[in-house]
Amino acid sequence: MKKTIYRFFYLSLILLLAGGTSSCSDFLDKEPDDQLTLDMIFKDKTRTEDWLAGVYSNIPDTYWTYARGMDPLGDDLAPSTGWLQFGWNIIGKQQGNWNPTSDWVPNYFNQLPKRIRAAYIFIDNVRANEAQLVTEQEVQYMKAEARFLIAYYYYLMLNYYGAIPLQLGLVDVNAPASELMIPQKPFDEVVDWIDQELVAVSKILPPYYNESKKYGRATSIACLAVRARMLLFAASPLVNGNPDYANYTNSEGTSIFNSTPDASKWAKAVKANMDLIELAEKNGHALYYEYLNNGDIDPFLSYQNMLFRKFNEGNKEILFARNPVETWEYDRHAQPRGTGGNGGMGITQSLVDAFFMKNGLPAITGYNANGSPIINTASGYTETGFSTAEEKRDTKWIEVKGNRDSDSNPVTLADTYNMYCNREPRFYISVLYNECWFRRENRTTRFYSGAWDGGPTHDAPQNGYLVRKKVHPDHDPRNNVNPYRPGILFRLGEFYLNYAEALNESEPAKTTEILFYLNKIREKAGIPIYGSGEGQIAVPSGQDAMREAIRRERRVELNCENGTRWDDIRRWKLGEKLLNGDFWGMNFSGTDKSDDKNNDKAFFVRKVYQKRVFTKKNYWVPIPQDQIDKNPNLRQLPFWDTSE
Amino acid sequence: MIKKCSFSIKDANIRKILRIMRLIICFLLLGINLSYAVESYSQTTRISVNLKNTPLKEIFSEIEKNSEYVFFYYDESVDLNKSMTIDIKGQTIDKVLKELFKSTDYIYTVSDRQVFVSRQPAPATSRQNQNKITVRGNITDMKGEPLIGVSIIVKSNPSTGTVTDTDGNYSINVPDKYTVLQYKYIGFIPKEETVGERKIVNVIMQEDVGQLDEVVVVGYSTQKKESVVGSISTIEPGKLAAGTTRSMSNNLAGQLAGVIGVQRSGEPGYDNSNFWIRGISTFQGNRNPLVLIDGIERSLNNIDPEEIESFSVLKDASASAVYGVRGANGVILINTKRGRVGKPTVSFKMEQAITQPTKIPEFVGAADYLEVMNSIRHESGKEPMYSQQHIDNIRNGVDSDLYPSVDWMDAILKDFGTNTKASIDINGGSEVLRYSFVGAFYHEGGILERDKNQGWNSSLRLNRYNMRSNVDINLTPTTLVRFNIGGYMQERTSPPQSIDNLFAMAYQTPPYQHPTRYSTGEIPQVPQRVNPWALLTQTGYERVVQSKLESLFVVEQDLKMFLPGLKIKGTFSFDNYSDNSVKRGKSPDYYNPATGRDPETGQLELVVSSYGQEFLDHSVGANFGNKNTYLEGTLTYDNTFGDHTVNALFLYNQRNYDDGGKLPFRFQGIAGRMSYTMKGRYIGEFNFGYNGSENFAKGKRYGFFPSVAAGWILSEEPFMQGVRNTLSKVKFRGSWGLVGNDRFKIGDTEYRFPYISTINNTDGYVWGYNRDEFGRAGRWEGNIANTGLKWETVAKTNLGLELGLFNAIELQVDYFMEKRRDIFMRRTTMPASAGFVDMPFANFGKVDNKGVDMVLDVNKQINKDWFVSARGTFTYAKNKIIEQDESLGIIGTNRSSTGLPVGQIFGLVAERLFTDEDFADVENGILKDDIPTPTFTSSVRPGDIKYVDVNGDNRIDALDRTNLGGTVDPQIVYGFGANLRYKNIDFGFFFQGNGHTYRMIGREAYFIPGSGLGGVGNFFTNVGDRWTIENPRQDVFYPRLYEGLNENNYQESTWWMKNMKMLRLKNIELGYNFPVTMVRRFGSSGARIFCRGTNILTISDFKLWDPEIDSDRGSKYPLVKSYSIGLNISF
Repeated sequence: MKKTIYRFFYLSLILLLAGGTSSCSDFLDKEPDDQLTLDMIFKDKTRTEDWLAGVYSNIPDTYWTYARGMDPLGDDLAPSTGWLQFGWNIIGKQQGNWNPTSDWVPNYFNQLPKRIRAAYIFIDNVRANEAQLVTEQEVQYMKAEARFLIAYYYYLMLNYYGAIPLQLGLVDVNAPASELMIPQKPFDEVVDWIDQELVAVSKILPPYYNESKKYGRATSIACLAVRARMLLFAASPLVNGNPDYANYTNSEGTSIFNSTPDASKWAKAVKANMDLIELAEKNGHALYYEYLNNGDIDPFLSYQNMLFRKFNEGNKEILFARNPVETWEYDRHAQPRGTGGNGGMGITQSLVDAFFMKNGLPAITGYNANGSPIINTASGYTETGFSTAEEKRDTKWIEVKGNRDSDSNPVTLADTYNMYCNREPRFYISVLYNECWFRRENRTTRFYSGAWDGGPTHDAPQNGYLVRKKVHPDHDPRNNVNPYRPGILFRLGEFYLNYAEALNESEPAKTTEILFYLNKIREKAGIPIYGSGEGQIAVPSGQDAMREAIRRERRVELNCENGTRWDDIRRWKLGEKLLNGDFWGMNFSGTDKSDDKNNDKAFFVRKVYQKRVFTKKNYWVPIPQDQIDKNPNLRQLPFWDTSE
Repeated sequence: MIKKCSFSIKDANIRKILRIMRLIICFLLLGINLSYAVESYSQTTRISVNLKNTPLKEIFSEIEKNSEYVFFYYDESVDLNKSMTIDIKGQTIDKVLKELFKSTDYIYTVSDRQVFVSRQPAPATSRQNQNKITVRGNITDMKGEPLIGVSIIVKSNPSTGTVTDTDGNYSINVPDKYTVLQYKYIGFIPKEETVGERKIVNVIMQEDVGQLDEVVVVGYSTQKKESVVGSISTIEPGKLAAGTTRSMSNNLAGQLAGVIGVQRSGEPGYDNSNFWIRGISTFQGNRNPLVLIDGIERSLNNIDPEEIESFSVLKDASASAVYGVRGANGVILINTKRGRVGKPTVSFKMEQAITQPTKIPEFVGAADYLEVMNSIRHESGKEPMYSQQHIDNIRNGVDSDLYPSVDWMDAILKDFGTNTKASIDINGGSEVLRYSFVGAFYHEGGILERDKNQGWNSSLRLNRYNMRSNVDINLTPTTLVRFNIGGYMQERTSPPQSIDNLFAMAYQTPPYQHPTRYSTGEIPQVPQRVNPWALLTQTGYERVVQSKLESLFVVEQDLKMFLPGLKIKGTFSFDNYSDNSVKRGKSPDYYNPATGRDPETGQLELVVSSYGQEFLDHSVGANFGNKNTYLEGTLTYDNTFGDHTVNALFLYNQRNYDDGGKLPFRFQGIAGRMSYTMKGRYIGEFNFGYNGSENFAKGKRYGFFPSVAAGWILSEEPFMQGVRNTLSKVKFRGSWGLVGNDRFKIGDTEYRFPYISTINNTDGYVWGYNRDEFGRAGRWEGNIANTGLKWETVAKTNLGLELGLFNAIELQVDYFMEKRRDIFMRRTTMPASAGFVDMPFANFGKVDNKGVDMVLDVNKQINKDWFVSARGTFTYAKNKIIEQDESLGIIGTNRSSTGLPVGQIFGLVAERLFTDEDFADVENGILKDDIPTPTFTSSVRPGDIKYVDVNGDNRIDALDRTNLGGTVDPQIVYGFGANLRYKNIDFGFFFQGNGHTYRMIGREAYFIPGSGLGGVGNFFTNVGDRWTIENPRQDVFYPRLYEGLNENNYQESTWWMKNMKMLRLKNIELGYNFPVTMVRRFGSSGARIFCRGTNILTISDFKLWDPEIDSDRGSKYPLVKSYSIGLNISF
């Protein structure tokens, strides 16, 4: 009896063990069977759109991406140099501290090919799904959008790196090194591929969508806008017959850039920009205007609200925009620290100097060797003294103790430093200067050292200015009030100026056509146009003078927008001239309201705040060193790996 | 020693207990009348045996197999290997045994189903009987505690013997006064006494400290120490309890040969050490050893050392191959305390300590700070930023609201914290049922400040309660059931902030900007910056409760009725862990630092910077935690045939670990061991693990991991017996084997199912006219499937020598070599242009690791009053990356890390500081032609660091980075200490040290004075040790200071690489044992008081902060030192 019990006991133990072992075969057969797969993605409308959104997501954020990666590299935006310690390595780059091993915030070389691959996967897999109302037409559009994005991303890479490998289609994960390690393509071949692709896609995509929720998807206008901007770049002296690059070849020995100037590139640029202007205008796009009660253009609000008004509220100047990433860091960094902001996103003195006077004349025409300005006395500009009375203009702009119902409002208060008086309207929309009225706080700004908005902290205007452009006047960091602003990537105004520039290069004699678009910009800006009429400014004589006028207008109109100024300086090959040397501003450690040059504590005195360095290598972003290491067929951009 | 059968003790009481137990069991199980069975079994049961020339042992087991009889005997007295012949059919046991023993001097007794066999007393019995002497006595240990169950045997006649009772008393009849009595007890040095004229022989037995682990815990079972051929480190659990630390992991380094450990933080709850067995041998993936508590994968951080009975570290493949795919990083085996036969013993321990940081960074005050800033500006030709008036006002203490000087470290830290440890340990039981109960309490009051004006207490503190109850029941003489329940609850209260961040902020906040709060009550804060004091004391508090339940159920059945030595065991366990938190948050209104005082009212000019929330809000956080179930079945066989001892094990196990992820982690395997010992000196062993892991594709899931080992105990050879007192032990051993790793970790992310392609989330996008009108989450490619993936394997070779000298010194040295192959990693050499989001997985890397570890133990009872022991360990492990998929452009250059240790520090080689002589034009920073061009900044100046142009391209850039010859994790860890005991006083100390450990400091932007532009960062008090124009020294700590970040001087380089080796007085202790006679009066069997210091001395060349903490600027919760007093008392 007992024996049986024992036996039973052992048996059950053994059974327990055996039971464990017999389940062996399936104990580990637990695969995650509910994982999302590529197949499931494209069976499902929402997930399909998720994928497409992923491809879209590297479209630059017009605020933070440009502020961290591009705009400060030109001579507009000047974030506090003290922010270098917080990872703003772009400030080191302003000072020449840039190596192939340095991080560059947008990191397009590593980042964009991932989006491009995702776009190709999308094109290969997307399919119609009638049950979920995804039509064949919709699929055609989405495929074309993916193609647009591939072209746009290659354009961005080309724009910053110049010599890029063009990986078309998907690479197999087990591909041999010979397929993976591709060399760079000549610049013009990449331009041609992007050009053809964008033209082809523009024939598929509509110029606009009727549904509100599809606003922001790629359109034929967006295609032509990217193309027009690219062809202007491709015609410019940096890449069109630049002798510095004569010996720069890819690993196969092919020259990357054409070594003799090719005038037909300018003609292409003219045509591409006109193609876009025509298509845009045909579809209702126009410059954005606001008007006074008397029907006149209000240049202040026209320029300011072009930056804030939505497309469906009549802002037809927008050609393509992305909903800005919903952080307000740019805005916050541009607000005085005494008002809850970080108070150090400045602009350069050279941008301040670039604005015209309200009479349409340049205030400063150049600089002496010691950095002092050459003042255009004819313009009425002066840097000494303070204004005696407030100045009113015809505008509904209310930021300086204004009144919304009135057609006439002050733009400067009495006792304002004369440098800031009688400037053109765009100046006041773009620049926040010391002792400027600050409506939200109901006080003037106090940028003096030791004062509420001033130093010695790094969160203060290091050279006496904060950027005002693109910051909504109602933005309030202390109370987290963050009004909407569209992230404008392309607007019509730019292409008027592109067209004018390209035409002046290819057919300088066509002054009427050139001035037609240049004057449209000036008219909207509220300053006298070029012409021979009464109150107009004499037409610049000759191609060079015209070029100067177009560039000056462009600098002002497009300041702090999407890295345009940095691109312009690069393509005009003006880096060594404009971005190398002392950068100026007002006296950061000044405590006194004074323009007395002999007073150490005088605030309103020109002072150097930063020494910038730009050498030949700085025309391009270097290819990251780790990529050079990985792919032996890549060649670093010129001058990055030599001591020049 | 009693070896073969635990029930062979010829003691009437125990036999009685056995019988009672049997009765209970039978009654329970069968419900039949036991007395009937007792009466009848031996008479009714008929046995047939037919065996020719069979060893006696096998005859016994044959009878056991065919009946319910169980044989009991002393193996010393019965020659089990004697071959006999028996042929009998259908007889009672009595007849059978009479027949069997007819030609021997064996006698037997049958009692119920138990047969006790012994040898007939020698022929002189009758005379002896006449002169029989009865000897009585009491046996205690050195502390005077009675020892229960000591066996006492007459040396000349091993069949005569007895054991001590629960009071340590014994009584034995001996033949004559020349009789020698042998006293044996596990864990104590055997002793012999000649009876002489004595009637009472009291014996004090000495604990065999060096040989404490006569039985060593090995993978899935135990082995006799001498037959162990694997490399295993063991330690007395008491040594792991030293000091006032919460986690045992902090006591491993230096105590255990083969363990490399570092404690990187002292923050309560997060002060666990990182530790690796024999260092790191992979550049990716899981580096942590497998920790098994009672055979179950658990963490050792929250178990109280009082709960532990044994602690073993399995270092080589021979010891860990049975763990197969889990054993690559070594294994730590911890067994918890089990009950011992005897009356209940209760011991109570308590220790109270005050704690202080080992080292806090020291900063200069506000006035010095601003003066340094002004002088930095002065050197670059700028006017001072801060007026002398301002500085003087700080120095003179004028208006501390406007001219404050705050040491923020001091502002957030108290002078000292507290620490309490208490535990109770109850242990006892009978042959049938044994129990061990441990309860422990741990409290740590951190060193962070609080604001006593607040109604709530946000100070950092932690309480932990541990409990464990282990019960063993002998269901039948051959069936053992074990039942463990243990667990802990830990509650941590803290400010609802990252403490690391708090220290970072205290480090970053300059002393002059604002006080902790204004005298008028407003709390200042620089916009976008932090007021560290307010962050600590004004933002509420958070409580986190973690709890863990651990259980284990084991049934162990002796199958000697089938085959002597065969046992089967089944184990089931479940664990459950959870953590939950409650956060009560608030925030004050913050004001910008005052810009001055209103000239009329004298009030501070303040403007609100951000609005706060005055009340405490409430939010609850909960985690899934994790749960674990484990099932194991084991078959073991142990037997000795003359000179041959065989030991075998076969096992199946499976584990299901669910941490709330998509699927639980599953593991399954079988393992086996075969060990053979000849003549007690030649040992051979074979182990294997055959494991499966669900991490791999079907068909790739199972791996086979074998190991072989051999040992030779030279000192056991007959020709060595002459020098036995000098060379008490000489043992050589060697092993080779494979272990594996299936845990795929890259960085902090663990990857599972890499044979399946995944889709990942990426940035999304928003369309539409309006904000957030039509947004879509982004998705894209994730991991690209690689169905060919398999586990990593490590081939481990170990050569060991154990040397015992003079019966007092024991030295153990192990040399090891590990080759890790097929390291799981992502390919790194695919170019970005291919567009892969995540690089594909591969089994690609190779790392070799070798080194040596050794331990030296000295134990010497000099005389009755003096006892000395000393211990030293040394571990050196150096690894080398053999293959890691390095970029083509790096291979063969100075930047290549292949062929160097994992984690090798790279950087530039700082040659010296630039001097005026290096420049063609000092003013414009133009260097002479023969000097390589620095490129980190557009120009350099005298006093900046001059680097070596390693790659010879005449430029100094990142391509000149090279291996600087060191790693952060130490390659050497050692420890040494001693204990002295004189009568009742004992004194001990232990030092722990490490070497070959480096750190690149100052990589935070604010480290170099002036780099934070005076807005961020503190200056260490060594700020004066710097290059200046007036004093352009080369042997300075800081190069030329600069207002802002000087990218040339800030590069990782030998300039900033500091040697962090250190030697720490980990423990120093003075104790007093109250005399047993004294404490007896209070019913106690022993009591000790002691005072102790932990971490009270640290010797290091690096002075700025504690060299061990994980920080390149000292801003981390420091390690703590403690001063404590304690009391141990037992009953």
